[in-house]
Amino acid sequence: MSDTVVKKNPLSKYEYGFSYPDKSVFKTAIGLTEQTVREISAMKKEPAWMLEFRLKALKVFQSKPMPMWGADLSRINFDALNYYVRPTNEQGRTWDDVPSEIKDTYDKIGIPQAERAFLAGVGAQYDSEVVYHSVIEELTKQGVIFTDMDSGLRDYPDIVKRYFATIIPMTDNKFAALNSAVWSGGSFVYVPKGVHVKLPLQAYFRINARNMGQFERTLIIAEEGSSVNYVEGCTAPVYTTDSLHSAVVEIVCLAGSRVRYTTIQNWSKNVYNLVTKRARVFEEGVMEWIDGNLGSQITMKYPSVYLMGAKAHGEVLSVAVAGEGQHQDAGGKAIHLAPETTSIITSKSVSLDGGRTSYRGLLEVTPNAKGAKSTVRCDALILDPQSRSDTYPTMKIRQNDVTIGHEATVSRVGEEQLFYLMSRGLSEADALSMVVNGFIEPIVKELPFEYAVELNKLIKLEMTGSVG
Amino acid sequence: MEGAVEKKFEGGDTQVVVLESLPEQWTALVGRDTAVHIFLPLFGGDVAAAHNVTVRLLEPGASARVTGIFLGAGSENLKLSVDTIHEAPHTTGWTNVRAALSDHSQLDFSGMIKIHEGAQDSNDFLEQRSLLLSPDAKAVAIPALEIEANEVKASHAVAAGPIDPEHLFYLQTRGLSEVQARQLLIRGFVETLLRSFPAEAQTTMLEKLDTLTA
Repeated sequence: MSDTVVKKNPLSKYEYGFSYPDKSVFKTAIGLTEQTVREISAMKKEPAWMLEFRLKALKVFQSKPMPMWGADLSRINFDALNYYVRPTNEQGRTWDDVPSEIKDTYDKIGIPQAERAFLAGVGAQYDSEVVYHSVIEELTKQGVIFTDMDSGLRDYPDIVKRYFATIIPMTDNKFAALNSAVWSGGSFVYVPKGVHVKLPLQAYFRINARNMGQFERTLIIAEEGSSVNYVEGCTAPVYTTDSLHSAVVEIVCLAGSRVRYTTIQNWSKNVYNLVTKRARVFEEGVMEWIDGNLGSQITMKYPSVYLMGAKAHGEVLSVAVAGEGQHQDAGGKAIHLAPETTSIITSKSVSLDGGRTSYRGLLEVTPNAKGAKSTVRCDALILDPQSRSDTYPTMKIRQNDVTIGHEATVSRVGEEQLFYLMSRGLSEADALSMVVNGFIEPIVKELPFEYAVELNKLIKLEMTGSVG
Repeated sequence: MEGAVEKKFEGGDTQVVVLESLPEQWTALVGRDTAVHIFLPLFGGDVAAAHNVTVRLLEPGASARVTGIFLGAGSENLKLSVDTIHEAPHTTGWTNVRAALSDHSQLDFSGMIKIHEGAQDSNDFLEQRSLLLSPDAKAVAIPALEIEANEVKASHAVAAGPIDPEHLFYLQTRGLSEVQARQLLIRGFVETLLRSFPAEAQTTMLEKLDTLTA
């Protein structure tokens, strides 16, 4: 096999399953020890406090047991992973600066075109490092910072030190501790008071190396009265060995600000995707998580909103599709800590070809949250007898002046629905895909247009052959 | 009653059970074409008493209805879980638990609907509503669905909240005092379910309801 041949599994329906030969310039040894953590930190020339933070987090990671709930994680072998893979020594400011194979990867995924068409800024992470970053000039003039987390730590140490790990402490859970110990890359976004970033900022995460662990760390701070829309996408090659993606995303939504965080997760089916995402929302702030989970072998991810200030609003829109061999354990959490806070959690999941979707969520109203309102709605579709769907919502209400509602349904595609569409001339496959698209419509309509088209296309691809 | 109790329901007719005192674990095994109606007049304790009711629908045509009412007062504390397990096709479940919680009372409820692989054409609905009558009352609800068949219908709904101020306002515009209006609304909330209980099982609950709304 020649060096330049792009490997693609012809049997896979997964469009992004190709890989390029690993030409990384530096890798830590396989496995995770104190030495690994020290090497990563030294490579990044980090301040002493960050190295200390990492080493402490490593101890926390080693001391915490694996979670005993949720998806089956027993097959993760922490000793077989590569925790840091540096693909190149320079970060590009234009696509011409990016090494050609890495650039080809993003070309295939369609990133440079997307950037020209409709984005205000783009960051692209390849394995452990962000290889490309650009922001339109106008935003920089307004004081908006959009850079990778490593540069953020170097160039804006005060802001980073003030907020880093305050939303998700290293002791939060085993995988947050792991991320805290070996994090690399991710985005750092700072939007000054009153600034509205009109076009979306986009980050693109790609795993290329084999047996790789990707641990990006993202921090978004929206100052008073500002707004920003952040979009991330993820893909990886199809390998026969497993990779691990364990991110930590922290968001600070200050008074009156508005943050929307959109994820289209389309990892290949050999990736364990174990992510902690949380936002703190202050007075009259609005936080929206739009979370699409299509890929990965196992996903465990529950974006959370902590409503800290009066009248803060949080929303989680989650869509999950689980096909053969996949388990999507996704959901959302809303914790009401202040008066008149409101939240809406909407989850739509589809399982087919023996896949399993689970909704897992938490709604908590503390005594302080007088007049809180919350609605949780979970709908699941099961397309065949081999597939499975679970719903595990939890509600803790410690205040009587609240309005709380939760509803969940699990059902199949109605025969009448299919029959009606087929009587109008659609084939069974088209009718089924139309019903499924209609089912997830409430979430798709919130996506930027290009993503909505992409999501519909992916679901159609996923469903090919699932009829008859 | 202590410990675990298991009871078989067979023979194809409809059977009624009132569980005045609930053991820690009570299991119903329901056979072919048999329906069982289970009524739970629920009482808590100072220390959270934990009870589990499990309904196993073992053969086609089995069905079960579970109806529970908890009127929590003082520091009454109740931990209740109701699990309905569909182990055969064409089985039907229905669970409805209502709680009116005053003072420091607390309800921890969890309710599972489980539909096994192959239990096609099964149908289940679980509902749990809590009326929070005091700022110190607490309601925890953990409903869950585990569905491994596709030709089924399974859903649950959970709600918790105070008396709707608009309902209160409406009744007051019709000439009732605030206290009378509250009493009427609490009664309405509880009696909707209570009226389905066998007559003798209603008495104790109605007495408690009287003290609650006095």
